[in-house]
Amino acid sequence: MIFKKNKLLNNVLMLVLVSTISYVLLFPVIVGIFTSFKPTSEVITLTPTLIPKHWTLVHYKALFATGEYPTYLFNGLFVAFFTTIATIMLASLAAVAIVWMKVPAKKQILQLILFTYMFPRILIIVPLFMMLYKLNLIDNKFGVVLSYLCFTLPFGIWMLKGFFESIPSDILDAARIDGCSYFSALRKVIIPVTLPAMAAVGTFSFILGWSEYIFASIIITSNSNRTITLGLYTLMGYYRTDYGLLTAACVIMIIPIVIFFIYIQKYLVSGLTAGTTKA
Amino acid sequence: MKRKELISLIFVIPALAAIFALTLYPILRGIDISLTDKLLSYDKYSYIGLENYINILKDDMFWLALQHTAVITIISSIIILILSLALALLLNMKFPLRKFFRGILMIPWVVPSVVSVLIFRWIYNDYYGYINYILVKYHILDQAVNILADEKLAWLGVIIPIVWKEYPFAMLTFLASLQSIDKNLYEAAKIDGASKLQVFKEITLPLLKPAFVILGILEIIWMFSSFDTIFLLTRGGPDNSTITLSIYTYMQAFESTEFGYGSALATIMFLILFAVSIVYFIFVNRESWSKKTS
Repeated sequence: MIFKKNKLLNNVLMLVLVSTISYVLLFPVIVGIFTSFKPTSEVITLTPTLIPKHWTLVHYKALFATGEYPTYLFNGLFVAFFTTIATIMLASLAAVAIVWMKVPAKKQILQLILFTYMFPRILIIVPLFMMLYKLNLIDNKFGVVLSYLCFTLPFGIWMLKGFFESIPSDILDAARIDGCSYFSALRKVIIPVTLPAMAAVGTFSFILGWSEYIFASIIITSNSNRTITLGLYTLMGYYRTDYGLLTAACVIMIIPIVIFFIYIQKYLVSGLTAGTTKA
Repeated sequence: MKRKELISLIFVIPALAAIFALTLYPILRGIDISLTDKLLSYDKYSYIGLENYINILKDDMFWLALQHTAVITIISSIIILILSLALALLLNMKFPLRKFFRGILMIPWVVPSVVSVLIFRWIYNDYYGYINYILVKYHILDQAVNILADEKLAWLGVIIPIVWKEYPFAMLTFLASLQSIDKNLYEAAKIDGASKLQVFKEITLPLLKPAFVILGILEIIWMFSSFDTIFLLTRGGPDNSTITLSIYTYMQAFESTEFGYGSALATIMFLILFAVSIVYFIFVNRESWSKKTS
């Protein structure tokens, strides 16, 4: 608190300060959204304003009128969806084992996982490309999904591990006393409790699968397989300064992310901090 | 092997196999290819030993890219750390709607790089962009400047979106660290009559040191290999003024199709980052070891 004596003054001042800072920091997002609703005459002007004088949906309609945009949307959803499913399945299995079962060389495995998480993607693109080429997965959406697992899995396992570890063991013991086998305890007790963490990992994987660029750009070569990220870049080249259209494409691209994000933001915070402070 | 261990292995193996196949194996294979003259298109290639590495040392563009990478890494990391610490300190104070603001300030982290690049390009635009409009209107500049086409300014134009996207993670980490500081310490300081500045200097900062170091190392690793934003924004910059190691590696491997040379560049990057991450592991293990013995 800045002023201890007058709480109202303090709160008002803080709110003004934080709002101003947020406005400046979020300016790009705000600009993007407003621009997409402006008619082109207000977009391409030497005296830009923030809020549109005339709100219009003309750019959104134009986007769907282009043949390719719906395809890009579909491909993006496809890749994001399968990345999410694969990550949740594999990461949960691994995290369950690491936290509750006897795994040989556990500590080494964990260090290895953390190590791979820190690794930049650019380093593996050449060999990864060659591998996918041999497996005939170039220009294949599943090839892209596979390549995304290398970063969603480490993060997912780490986050789930942090979350699972914070569940008191009494719950498990109570279930065992009641006569559940290992697997039914898993089903009836653990899964419902861990659903928020799974949702968080799933969301993170979805966001990554949806918005990633490099791997997709290298693996996908044909226009019909382009994901929405590549599609946006293609549109940027084609519709050069039609920023009304381009920002409309951005807004559509951000919508699923923001929706998911608002929901899981709380869990991301606790998952992230559990991971880093315990490392 | 006992049955329990076997079951646990079955659980762990799918994920581990994927991670191993998609990360560790490619790194090793990449090192292997760096010793060859492989091109993207031809299947036949031969081993040429350390020739790629020798050529890299003679390559002016490599040294230029390395220099740019170092500058961008250090400057971005410093700005990110300072900005995120300031924001974390702010969000650590009590005021209404605190959690709402924490949430929205995290948005840049989840905005895809393509989107942020597109919007920043628009804001930077010399005819219609907001930045030039404001700078000229308030007479800070005489004339609009095309930031991304200017050799001397392009690096600044590149650092801003990078910092914008990365600060939320650091901010969160600092915030978590701040909130784990024992409140009793602040109480004791207040009783002893310490001023706010003293409290900050003697209590808060020292306790933040671990977070600072860990974040610093992580940011260095991530900024060093930053690719998306720079590539999409300037593709190496007007006249190679923003080319970094990761972009140069990409260009060699996929535009010049020199897989062997590109892999050698990637391996050098890997070695540099490996050295930095070892520092990270040493620091983290030293911290937890000292906590156990104290």
